[in-house]
Amino acid sequence: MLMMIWTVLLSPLAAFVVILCLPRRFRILAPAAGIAAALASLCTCGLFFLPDALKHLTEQGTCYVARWMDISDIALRGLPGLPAPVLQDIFFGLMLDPLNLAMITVIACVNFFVQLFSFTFMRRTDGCSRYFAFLSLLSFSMTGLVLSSNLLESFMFWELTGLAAYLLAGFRPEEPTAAGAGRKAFVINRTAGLGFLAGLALLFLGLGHLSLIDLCGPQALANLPAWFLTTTGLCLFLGIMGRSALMPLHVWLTEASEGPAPTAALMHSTVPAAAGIFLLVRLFPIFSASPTVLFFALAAGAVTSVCAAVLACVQPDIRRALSYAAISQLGLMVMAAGAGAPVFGFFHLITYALFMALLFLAAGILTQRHGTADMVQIAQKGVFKQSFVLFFFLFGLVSLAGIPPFGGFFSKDAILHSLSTQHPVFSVAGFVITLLTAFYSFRLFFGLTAGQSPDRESSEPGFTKIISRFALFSLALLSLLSGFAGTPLFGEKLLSWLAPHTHGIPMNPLRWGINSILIACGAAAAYIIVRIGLNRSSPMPSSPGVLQQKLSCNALYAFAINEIGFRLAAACGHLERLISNRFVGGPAWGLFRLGGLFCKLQNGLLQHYLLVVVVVLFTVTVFFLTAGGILR
Amino acid sequence: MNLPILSCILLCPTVALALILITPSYRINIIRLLALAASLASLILSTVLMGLFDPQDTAMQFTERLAWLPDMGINYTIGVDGLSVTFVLLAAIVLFCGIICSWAVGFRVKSFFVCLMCLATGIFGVFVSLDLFLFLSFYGIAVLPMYLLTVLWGSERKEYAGMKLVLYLLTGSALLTVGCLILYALPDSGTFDLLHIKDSLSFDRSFQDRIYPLFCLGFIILSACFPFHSWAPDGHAAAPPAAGMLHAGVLTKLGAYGIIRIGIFLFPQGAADWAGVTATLALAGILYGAAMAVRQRDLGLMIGFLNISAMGFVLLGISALNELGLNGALFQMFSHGIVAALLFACIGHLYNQCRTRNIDELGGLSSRVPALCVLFVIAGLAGLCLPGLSGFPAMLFVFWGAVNFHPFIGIAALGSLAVTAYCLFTALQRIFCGPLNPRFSELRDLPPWQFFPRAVLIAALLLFGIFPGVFINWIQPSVRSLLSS
Repeated sequence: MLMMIWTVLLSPLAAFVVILCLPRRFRILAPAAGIAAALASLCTCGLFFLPDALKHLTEQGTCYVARWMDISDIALRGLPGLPAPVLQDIFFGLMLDPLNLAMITVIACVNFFVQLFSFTFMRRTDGCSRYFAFLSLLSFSMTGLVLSSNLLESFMFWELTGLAAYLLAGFRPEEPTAAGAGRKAFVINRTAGLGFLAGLALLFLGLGHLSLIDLCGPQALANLPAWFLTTTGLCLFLGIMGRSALMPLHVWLTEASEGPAPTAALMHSTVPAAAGIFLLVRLFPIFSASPTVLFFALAAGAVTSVCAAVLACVQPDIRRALSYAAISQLGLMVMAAGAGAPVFGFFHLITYALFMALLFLAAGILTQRHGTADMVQIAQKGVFKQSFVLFFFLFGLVSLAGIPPFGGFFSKDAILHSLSTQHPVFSVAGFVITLLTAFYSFRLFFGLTAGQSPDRESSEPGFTKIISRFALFSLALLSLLSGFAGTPLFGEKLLSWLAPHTHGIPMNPLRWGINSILIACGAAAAYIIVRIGLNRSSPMPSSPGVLQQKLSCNALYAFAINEIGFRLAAACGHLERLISNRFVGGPAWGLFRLGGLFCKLQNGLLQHYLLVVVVVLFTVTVFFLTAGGILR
Repeated sequence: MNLPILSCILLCPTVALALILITPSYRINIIRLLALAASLASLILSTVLMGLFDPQDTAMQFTERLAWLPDMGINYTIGVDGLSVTFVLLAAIVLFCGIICSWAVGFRVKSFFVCLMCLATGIFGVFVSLDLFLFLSFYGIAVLPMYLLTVLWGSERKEYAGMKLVLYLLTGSALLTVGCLILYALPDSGTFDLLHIKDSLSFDRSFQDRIYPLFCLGFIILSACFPFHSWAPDGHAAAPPAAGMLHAGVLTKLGAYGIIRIGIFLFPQGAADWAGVTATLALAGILYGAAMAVRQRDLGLMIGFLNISAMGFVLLGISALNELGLNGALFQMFSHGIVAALLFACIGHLYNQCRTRNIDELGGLSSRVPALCVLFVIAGLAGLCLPGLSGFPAMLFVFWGAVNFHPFIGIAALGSLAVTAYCLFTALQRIFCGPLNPRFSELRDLPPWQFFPRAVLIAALLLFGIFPGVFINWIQPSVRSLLSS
């Protein structure tokens, strides 16, 4: 029964290959192939939740592996201060446990609805079939990343998700911004991935294997020195920072938000942003082995979450605002892991993935209809009549703000609970984030609903309207349900299934009260600022310059590349010229001059030759005379 | 069946050379087909060789010995083991693809293919010869046609580049000749036979410490490692595509192969004592190549400098002197050989069409030459070691070996891959994205049959990227026996 997991992995790959091999005439079938594969994955995931299958699913996980590389008899010396590792063969394959299953189900859901939506959104675009091929590649690589049984295999799929993200973000190569966004996504993820790879190397050379089941086992990291655990943890965390767009490595995600709406939805909600969080949860035993790493994660998450939330409050572009909101939520999940409760972070990831996909898809429709992504312009053009799309957009915003009983509420409450029990200082940050989240969500809410003028009739044919509405509706419903699944109301089934040793979240009226007050304050502030600002027809109070520069992150990179990187490269260029001019050119020039000197001997002038003959004869004569003792 | 298979492989290009020489020069198609047939035959034979090769046997296999100048201790001795057999395959693949890629050469076709066949003979020869004299002779055979190919059929700055290339390479082989003569002149020696020298002579540590740097220096020059690299970017960029493919793909690997085959094999103690120095040089080369590539405007030069970075990884793996590192170095040589060949094949077509390689002048080409764009992206991804392509396991092994040797050197070397990614993606963006330069609106994409050689290269990349165990199994027993001796 569990063997059917291969279907989930291989069906998107099959779709990718099939679409690439489609002859030009049959390109029209590409969306069908992509959607069929996504549906197959989704249905297979659904099958695993039948009681029959759940019985087989154990907490340790089930593996299906094959030997990838045969290196067990290689002898190595150990790293400094560590015993020599006993290398084991590298096995690749799939692993299935509750955490994996929950994650691939969410991915399959989001992926299916995004593909469905893409059909309505992209079917008239040039290169639509290419687009669906890339979508399938992305979903294949993400599923592989989640199901890997070996950390090295995870890394391989991880890099593949980076490639797929590059291809999707740079989907329209003729647009310079798209190409730039793709390049940025790849290079930043690549750099962070190298940190991850360094962590992998340390783990491999320290332990001799990278099998996930063994790594996460209870005794795997016993007897290892603290410096090793800290270094390894920090290296691995660097990779996660890049993938989950923690500051200052977040710039690629915000640029990706301007790509086609389904791509942006996928990239913010599941792949690759959520990949980092998933690995953080999966590798939590490694991170938690070193308190330094945990604290670093907590601090990085807090800084990211607060800064991104502040930035989300001032973005005029709704896609950018959503993107910063997403980064802020990702930071919150990292904080949960840093506070020692990765499962709560993962729970938030599930609800977040569903409502974030919903938000980006709805924002995509709004942007496409109005030809602009500027919140004020959309509001002025009149958005009221598109009640259906707007309704779901608002539904997503309310979930994002964390108003009970929407999805975001329960998961965010769990994170706040873990923060307040573990780190009182950081729980203040958590409450600040709650306030800011409420503010930016309701800023969009009130901003978009402020418009008055009538809407134009949309020209979409009926069936695509139904499909896109179906996708939005399903995502909204799922995000609502997923929130409830983790609550005390449902006996916390989800959380105890994911991690049997988790303590439940006690209902704390005080925390709920503070939360509600903060959300109300945020909403009220947003109402006052936005509505009054719009009424005065000076749409937004202008934000401070630092925020307009987006905290200067891009300037930082430009400085690093132009001033430091290019200077270094120029210095190398000088060295290169030095080598070829002095060390190679010098001797060559010397030889050339030497040749010139000897040339003078053969300049063709008879008088010179005669002179030489005379000089030589004279010298020889003097020599012999001296030697013979005649000239004394 | 007792076919002398190595000699047959060696004879394929030689016979073709002779046949092309007697073909009238206006029979262009016959000349091309002869060259293609020879390369196809050598490809088939080397595939058969891989099939017959027994990886578990660490002794030399398929050995052949003919007396040549027995009084002077010079014999025609050839044979392969796990260290060298993969290079025969690599050379055959690259030669086959190079010949198809140079189908468009129209200027003095006969001379071109004569030179190319001569180069191929030299390349096959160096990897199979077990006699130092034979080794040096084949190297000489390979270098001289390279000069002609570059100067006559090259692109920009070809005279300068060709002269620089030949001078560097001859300097390197002069150093090697001195080293070989020293070994010949030792008491009890009097032979150029590598295995005989290994068996009969034992070198003490101080001698090894003095002679190893001589050989190592010679081979470092041949393999274009920092700081003796400056011939390579110029030379490879200026050479015609097929010559660039063969030289960058295969012949530079010879230097690294020589360090293993002669340096480590004969002087293990010397290699261990000098490992710190070579590893530092390798690290400097890795970072330096990547840094130089950042500012290059000429695509050929950029790829040339990235090759230096990649060769630095090879030297790093060798210097680590452990099984992971050496396996990785051999794997990286093979994998990078394919990648370099693919890149130069693509650049060759681009230059033929656009008459420029300056990335600032190009732009928006993806709408005109989508197939070339796809090939470039694949080659670039392989060059920056993306998982799934053979560069990844190779880099992984080198990296693990290097971290095991010295964690700092290993991790610093890894940083260069980020720079490589930046360079390649900036170049790809400039060349293929953005608005199309009207000057290039008449470009033609690759003709379908020209896909075939490139597809062969990509298939090799994918095969060894997804199943690296196949490759490791070929080389590992020999590497182990080399290190244990």
